[in-house]
Amino acid sequence: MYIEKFYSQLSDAEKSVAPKSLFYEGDFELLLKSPKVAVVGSRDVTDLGIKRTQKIATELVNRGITIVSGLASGVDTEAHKIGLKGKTIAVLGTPLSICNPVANKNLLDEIKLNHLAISQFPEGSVVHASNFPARNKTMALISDATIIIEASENSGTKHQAWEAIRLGRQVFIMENVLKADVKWAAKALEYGGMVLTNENFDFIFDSLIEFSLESL
Amino acid sequence: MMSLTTFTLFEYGKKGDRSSVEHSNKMVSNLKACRVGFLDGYLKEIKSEHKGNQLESHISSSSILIPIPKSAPLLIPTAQWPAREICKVLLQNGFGGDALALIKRERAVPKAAFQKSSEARPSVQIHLESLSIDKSVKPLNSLVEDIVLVDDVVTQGRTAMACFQLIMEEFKSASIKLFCPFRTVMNEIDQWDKPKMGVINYYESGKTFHRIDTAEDDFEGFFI
Repeated sequence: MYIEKFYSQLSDAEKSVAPKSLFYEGDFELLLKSPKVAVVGSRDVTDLGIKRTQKIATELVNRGITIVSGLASGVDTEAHKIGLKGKTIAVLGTPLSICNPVANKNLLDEIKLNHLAISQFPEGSVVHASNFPARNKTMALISDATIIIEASENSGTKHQAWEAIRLGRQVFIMENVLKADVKWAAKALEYGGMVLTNENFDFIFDSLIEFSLESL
Repeated sequence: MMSLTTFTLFEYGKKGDRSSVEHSNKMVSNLKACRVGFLDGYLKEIKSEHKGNQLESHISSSSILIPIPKSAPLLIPTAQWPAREICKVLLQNGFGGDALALIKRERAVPKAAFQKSSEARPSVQIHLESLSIDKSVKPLNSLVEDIVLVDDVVTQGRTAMACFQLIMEEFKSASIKLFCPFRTVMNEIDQWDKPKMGVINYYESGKTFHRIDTAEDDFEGFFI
């Protein structure tokens, strides 16, 4: 019933890109509530990237915003850890029973117990490399906005950025990504992506609370 | 002074009765994600209860609806575009005769909702420089008489005023109006469902002012 409610609130364009099925463990109500913001980025995150993730995620949690991420190493892991202090949703690129990376098993167990883990991949299905960009697109769909902390030219994060832009969701790219001359990130600004800086994040996060998607 | 007549259905703002504010915020968020079911239901209701006369006089069965572009170009033609979805819902409910996406955004402009002050929001001139007529949509017919620009929310009316000027150049003899489901209000919201006529004035100074007609003839609007 929960899943049907989720699908029923989507627009036609959203339905056309939504995964055909969705499996979950935890509190599915989190998916129906807003605001939800995806915090994503590189697996091979720098020390500064970890600090940035912690800072951004803390600011979001303090505003009652649910942290959405992909349970990968690096930025995703840090985002979820902070999210445990508020609410967090893990969007898996594997069936729910598989934890990738294995090192995040305890984190995933905690999320399943007190938060929410979702996957579009049925139990027993083979985990392909293509699962992960597909998972990124689902993250874009369920989130009111996406924040990119660190990324490289070939980062899977770019799939999420483009999908979010197609769906009309706001994409915020941290200044450091643009300074690193990541070309797709610079291109995303031409289609409505915004640079997130020390100066503007406070005002933007306050605004996000107003523009959150909840069913009427 | 240039003027554009407006018609809006709902109030959207930050102050006032909490449940009304939250409800209007949710409706705007849904609209911005092209989740237009509530608008469809509302239009059906006012049609069936014959309360849509004012809207019908603003958007006739022969009106050409033109969606106002988002603040950035569309990544792909099928990307979500709230104003285009609103046009579809209007047409489905018998408001307007056709919809044409005649205006396109060539370059992104700063998104007004994330600007701290009204001064930081793009001016009419900045909008004009970033917009163009999409000649590929349909051969332009200069005999078009009745045009309604359509957007999701009108606040200061700068984007609408830029589109108005652009369209006026193409259709010099046409009547051009604006329809938005929502208008941003600075005063307290006590009831979000409040259809109102209004007018956006554009002054030589470059400022816009959205004046909303009120029953009490109160002075309500935005001066930027």
